[in-house]
Amino acid sequence: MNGFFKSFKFKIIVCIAAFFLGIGLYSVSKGGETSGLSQAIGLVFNPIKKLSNTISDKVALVIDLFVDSEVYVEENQRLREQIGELNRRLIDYESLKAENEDLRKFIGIKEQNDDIEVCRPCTIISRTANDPYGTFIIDIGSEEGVKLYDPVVTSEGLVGVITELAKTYSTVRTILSPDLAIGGLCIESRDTGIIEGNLSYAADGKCKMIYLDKSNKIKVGDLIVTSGNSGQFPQGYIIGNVTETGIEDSGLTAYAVIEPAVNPKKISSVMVMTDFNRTEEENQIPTGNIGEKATEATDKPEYDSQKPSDDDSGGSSDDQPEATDPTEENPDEPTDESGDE
Amino acid sequence: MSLKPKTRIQKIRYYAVIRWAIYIFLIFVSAILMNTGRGVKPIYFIPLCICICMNEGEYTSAVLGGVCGLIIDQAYGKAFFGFSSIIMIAICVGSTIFFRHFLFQNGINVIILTAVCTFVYQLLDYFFFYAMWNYEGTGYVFSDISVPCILYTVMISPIAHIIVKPIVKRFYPKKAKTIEEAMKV
Repeated sequence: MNGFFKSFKFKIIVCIAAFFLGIGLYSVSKGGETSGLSQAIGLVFNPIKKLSNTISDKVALVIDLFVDSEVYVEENQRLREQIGELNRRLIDYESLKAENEDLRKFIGIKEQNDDIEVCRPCTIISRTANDPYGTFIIDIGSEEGVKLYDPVVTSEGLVGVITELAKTYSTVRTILSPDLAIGGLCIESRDTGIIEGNLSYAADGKCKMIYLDKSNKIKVGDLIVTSGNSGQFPQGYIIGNVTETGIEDSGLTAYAVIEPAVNPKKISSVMVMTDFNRTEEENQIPTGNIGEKATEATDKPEYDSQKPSDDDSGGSSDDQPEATDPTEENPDEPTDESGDE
Repeated sequence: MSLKPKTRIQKIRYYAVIRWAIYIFLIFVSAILMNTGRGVKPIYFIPLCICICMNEGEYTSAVLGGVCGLIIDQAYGKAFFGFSSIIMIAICVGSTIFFRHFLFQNGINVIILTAVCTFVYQLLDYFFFYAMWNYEGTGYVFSDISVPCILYTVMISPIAHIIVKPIVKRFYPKKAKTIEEAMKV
């Protein structure tokens, strides 16, 4: 056995291992762009993956219908009650909408999300194996105009962002991932915070809104939308509803647990937002972070040493109580000279 | 023109082609299974590679491990494309050496080696992709993903052995009696 480690054979095997290590380092250095070798493997397996997943989904659906029939009956009942409640709200909404329209015309604000461009509906080719955040691969790539860090949505709400881009397919990191940080705004209370995935909540398909002011007025059931502060996501796109609120262990800030409007682990098709109303400066994606993390990180206090940020202009811990103000303290919030918001 | 081998060398090559065609098919099926469905899935490649590498040479094992590692990384969507290759090379070359020098080629040893290798793989994966980054609640990944993955992989290892054993028996040229055969005699 000792002889093996000194043999020529062992040296050759080490060279083979070094070759694969080189492939790994090369893929990391590409910074989000899928390496050629990975694309080649994807090219071979993606059509088969798509077929096998279609079959698997159908089989799972049939099994699910038998196993979870009681759950569906309960859910149906609950949804009926919810529809009744929503219909009552709709009446209020219609009158408010009419009033809002008048006010918009009056102050000349352009209707928001007017120039959002979305791609064709994309099918989920496969889900990454054993991933707690529900990362998946879609059948659209750079050939169809998709860019790195483009938001991925459904008509119900935000799903995630493109984190790896190949010519014919892309990898989508979902909002359940802690690598993704999105500026969130509570519609009802106007409190802002950062929505980040969390391993504890990802299991239940939930994420967490952090860095909320302790005096926030967020309550269970409130609707959270994107704040659009950094320009990486359109403003006012639905993220989800609050299911739980509390104070962080540090006692300095509060948090809210969000149930996304779209459960990324259960969807089968999505759309990529290839363009929306944002300025050139906002199009500059910060390196080392995904989505809004780098820009929003300036809201974070310095004691958050566990989340490294490339943005060196981060505020001090003194900024923390003010950081939740949606209109004042975010350094990256578009101003008159850069923003459209 | 008959494709049937005539000389011993031809026979060895002919069997090698058939054997590796079947292995590649098994690798292909494993890759599809790893990418199909939701929930925690076993790493089909670990027991399969161990079973294949028991009878192959070190170089073959290293290349096989590297390629299978890349397929695992593709299925896992790993940012470090090649991470699994390095571990799989160690597993494959290790199993070749262990089965040649220390272990009998039987199902129990395959299960034990699979359990050890999967545990090491999952431990490294957990450390490098979750624990090292100080994510909140990483314990969930270990208890709800890594541990079931190890158990499922160990559970499928006898199946891999049952599938690969007859292929080896039928298509591996016998140069001399194995230790087991010699002991039976």
